[in-house]
Amino acid sequence: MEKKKVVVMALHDELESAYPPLNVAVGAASSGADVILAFSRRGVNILDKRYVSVPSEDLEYLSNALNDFGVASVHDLLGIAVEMGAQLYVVDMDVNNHFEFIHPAEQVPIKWLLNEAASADLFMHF
Amino acid sequence: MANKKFVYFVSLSSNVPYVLKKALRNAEEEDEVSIFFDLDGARVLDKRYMKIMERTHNMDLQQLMQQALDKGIKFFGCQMNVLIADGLELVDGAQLSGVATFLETAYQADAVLSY
Repeated sequence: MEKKKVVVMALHDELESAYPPLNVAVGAASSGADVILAFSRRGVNILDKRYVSVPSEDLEYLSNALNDFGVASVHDLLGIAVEMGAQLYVVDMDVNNHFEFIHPAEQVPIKWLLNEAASADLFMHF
Repeated sequence: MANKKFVYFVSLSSNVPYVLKKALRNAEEEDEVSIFFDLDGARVLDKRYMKIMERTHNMDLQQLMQQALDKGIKFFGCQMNVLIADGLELVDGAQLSGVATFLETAYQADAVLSY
């Protein structure tokens, strides 16, 4: 079967916005797809070593539910995605000196990412 | 014959009414629609949540969901959803699925939209 190409973009860092792109990336990578996992705006915070996933207001129950269920943390999931071969990119970002990447990520212009998305079998942003 | 295939991915329950209205418009155009509910979005697939909605709001959401199901729109709940841990009572017509089903459906779609 032809190898699929998947481009997933994380735009936000709240817990409920961080899980879906990582889940899709892990799922796609584990099924053999080439996965580009890109981070922009606040999503890039997920890549920071000091990132703590906090849900949005009124969704606090999700934190407890995820803990109770024993679901992998956002950083664990990110690690699995990288292990599975997902490539990490940050888009149009001015990396400040205090930013500490938990995994290496290449900085790319949005145009590059959109070109990749145009040729992908699946493009999603969260 | 279906014109186009739409896939909606909903992770916030507050977005569900909007997505259902869009999905119903797609279905009226004879488009094929699948909705995947994840995280907080999957709450609407729990019968107990629907009862709370019924008490605290009007029946709008339940009616919308029934209309969507009647129109042939497919509802999928994320198999790994954390709400299942304390016993999700799945609404009639919805089914559980994993990320593999989502990807399979999404690869075939003309548009995949996340909310």
